[in-house]
Amino acid sequence: MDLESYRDKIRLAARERAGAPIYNGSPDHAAIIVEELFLSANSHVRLLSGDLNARVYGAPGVVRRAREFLSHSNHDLRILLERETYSPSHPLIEEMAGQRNVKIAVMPQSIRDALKYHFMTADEDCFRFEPEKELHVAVAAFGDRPTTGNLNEIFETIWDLSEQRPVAAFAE
Amino acid sequence: MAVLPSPAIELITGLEPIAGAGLAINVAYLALDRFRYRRRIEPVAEEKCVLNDEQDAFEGFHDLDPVKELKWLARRVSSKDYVPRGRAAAAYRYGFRKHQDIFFAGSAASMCAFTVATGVALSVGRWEWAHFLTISPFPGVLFYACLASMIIPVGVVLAGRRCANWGRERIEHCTNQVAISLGNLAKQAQPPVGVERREPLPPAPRPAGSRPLTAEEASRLAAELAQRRREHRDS
Repeated sequence: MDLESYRDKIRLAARERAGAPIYNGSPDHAAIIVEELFLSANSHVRLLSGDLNARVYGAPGVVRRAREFLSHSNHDLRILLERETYSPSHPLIEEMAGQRNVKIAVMPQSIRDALKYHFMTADEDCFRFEPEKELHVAVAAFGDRPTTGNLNEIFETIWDLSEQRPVAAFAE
Repeated sequence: MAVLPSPAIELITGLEPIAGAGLAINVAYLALDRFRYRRRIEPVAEEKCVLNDEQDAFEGFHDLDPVKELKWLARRVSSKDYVPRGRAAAAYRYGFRKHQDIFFAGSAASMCAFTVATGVALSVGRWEWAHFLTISPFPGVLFYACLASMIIPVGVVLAGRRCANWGRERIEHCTNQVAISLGNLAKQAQPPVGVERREPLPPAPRPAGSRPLTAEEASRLAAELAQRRREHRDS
């Protein structure tokens, strides 16, 4: 499926909010889903990632949507990272540098070693989930409250155990 | 040089129109990309088979029927290991999966070209070794073979289109099934080993003596808030 058809499919799913799972098998498709998650979110975006793969989270569309999302003062983006091994010129990090409604935390080594998956959620009913963090295979759904609720709980659990870092420190 | 009596040669030269048409149809089938039906299925399925056999999205992932079917469509597994059910699957397996259609069209085009060339050769007194073709039953065999070469590609095109549509539908179906399996993983995900799941936060306690708002009170409050917001914006 070409990127435009995939984008249309994701937009439709985001509009319908039926909770149907959508397969995601490449970084380009992942970027489209992440864009749509930012677009769909009304207040919270939670992101649990390795080191913010620039091919997904640095894509121009994603950065643009993140900027739009963060332009509302009542929106908040929390990023939980395994490592800090990314370039300071990462487009998303640069974008977030001056934002007050972004929080970043780095998880302890013990959790990182045991963690198998990555995910991102938007509010309480949209998510993208990678069951194996080394692979690009993922599933996304718009309008699935139980699953998003589960992932949000996991996020909050790990967040509480992680060390928050000032956003500015990441952009230096 | 032995020159055959003309009625015998005419048996072969008379096949030229039908052999020429068969040749044209089969060459067109071989040359045009639109008739490469396997290419409409295999790369799309390959794109979806993003995992190697060593990579497991979860235990048992590679044993799922939709995953096996995607691999079969991508020709990562042989028909000995897995074959989808149904007539379309059988048609694809025996007609297109190993380029059988191209082999058939190539053979038919060669046969038609040979018939045309033989007719011309015999009419100008060449290819003496081919004289046996003027003897019954060979002219009849060549006629029906050329006729089949002309008609069968039409059937192959119709079957190829159906197979391509079937393949796309199956890829979509299998992909959705894989997504459902992955979605279940997300639903059942647990915090990493050794991390206790945080208790869900209890709802905030209601102040003593308070009661829930009635619908009327809630709408009045909402209107009041909206009014205050407007005033704040205007100021």
